[in-house]
Amino acid sequence: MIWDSFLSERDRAAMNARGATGPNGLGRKPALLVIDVSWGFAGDRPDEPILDSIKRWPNSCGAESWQAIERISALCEGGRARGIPVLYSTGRARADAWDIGSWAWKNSRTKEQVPATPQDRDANEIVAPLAPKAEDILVYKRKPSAFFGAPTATHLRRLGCDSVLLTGTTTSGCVRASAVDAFSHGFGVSAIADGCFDRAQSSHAIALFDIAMRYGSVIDTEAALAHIEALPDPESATRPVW
Amino acid sequence: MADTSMDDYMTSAIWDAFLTDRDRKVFKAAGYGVAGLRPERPALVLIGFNAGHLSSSAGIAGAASAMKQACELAVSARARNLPVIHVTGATRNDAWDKPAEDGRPAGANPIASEEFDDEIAPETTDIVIRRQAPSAFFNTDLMSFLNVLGADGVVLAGGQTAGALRATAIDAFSLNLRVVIAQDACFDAWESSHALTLCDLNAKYADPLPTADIVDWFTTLASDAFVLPTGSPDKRLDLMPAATSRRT
Repeated sequence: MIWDSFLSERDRAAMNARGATGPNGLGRKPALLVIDVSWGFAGDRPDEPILDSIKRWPNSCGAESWQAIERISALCEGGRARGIPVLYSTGRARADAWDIGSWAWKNSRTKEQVPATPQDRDANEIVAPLAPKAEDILVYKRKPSAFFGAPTATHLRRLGCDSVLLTGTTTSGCVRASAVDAFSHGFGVSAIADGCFDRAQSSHAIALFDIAMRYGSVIDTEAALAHIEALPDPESATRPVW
Repeated sequence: MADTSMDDYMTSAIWDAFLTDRDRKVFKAAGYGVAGLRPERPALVLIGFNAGHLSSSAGIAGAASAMKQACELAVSARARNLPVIHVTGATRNDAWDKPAEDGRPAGANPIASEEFDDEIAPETTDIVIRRQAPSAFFNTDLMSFLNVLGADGVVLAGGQTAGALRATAIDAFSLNLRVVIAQDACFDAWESSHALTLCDLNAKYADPLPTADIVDWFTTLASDAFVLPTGSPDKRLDLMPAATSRRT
């Protein structure tokens, strides 16, 4: 797995000895969550290395973002074809940035990100290749978790979902915080490793390790698509009813 | 607030050995990891210093030494009349309501595993929070207690670092509380997870500090800032229906 080369010797030995992992997070009524895949986090030039990309987009995760975006695109299409709800989250802030609160405390470049970027694009807009479809669901948030200050849990219950398939960014930030909250709400949790990305390689790998050890399953896109494909009766998937 | 100190901090930090060269450059270039805001009215929150983590058989390496640091923090906090809040689990004795957070089965006696270690047991003026999810804020009264105390931030210690402590830190951050982590008073079964959690928290969410620095800081705070409970033992709620309850 991706975390093997990032674990200490002691942890690798302990994991081999124990073999135990977290609970199985794959459910029968999943929702696909696409966390924060916006220009601000992916940059706007797919092949641009991260250290160049963050000069213009301070939160960018660079070229790895766009490898994951291809996978997320396939997952969205596969999910929609089986009637699985696709829920996007992205950030929001007032134009005067009063509401960014604690985000400003630990980063010296926050003022560059909110309210406006020097680019034409809104940093919080979902990247064009993943633009949500009319039947998808979009929630806005101000803090790491897609559940915090957002109606995500309500929507998932209304849809009759029992689990989430997590993609997006950053793996160690908003994806992970969403995984913990989904777990706390009693939803099954699966993170799709190659559909998640992060600006830090170590944080990415160990966040996936932590999710696998504590909160749920970590699988790749191929396994996620196979799981979606094998779900019973696509007609039974619940759509919004109001 | 200057980020010039980050070079020293990042390279001397526990997590440095786990980072790639690119990670170090990215954290710096993206502006992450500057010193955050120190709370003016901090509450000390001690997480997971219970038997399940501290027992000699099934316990976690590092938990006992973290507890010694946490005891120092608690003593110095009480000396200034700062709130001391203890967080542990609440569970039925059949553990139906306790998901295997770290993949380990709940054990033969889940209730006993949630009891505080004697060495750090709550004093009668301390506050106890019992949770059923990783974060001490999730479905608990913690935020309402912080509000009634007028606390503007938390000092977190305990474990596991990448589990309950991190989840609590993220919720505190999301609630716009100022967050300090007693970095040598935390423990985790996985040293890689411990190190990277402190790295991620320092980058975006919280200020990790040594216990000794926190103790020094506490001595500078007013000792009449909080109206604390006057003293009453915490009573644990019995979550099992009486007819089937069997306590050992």
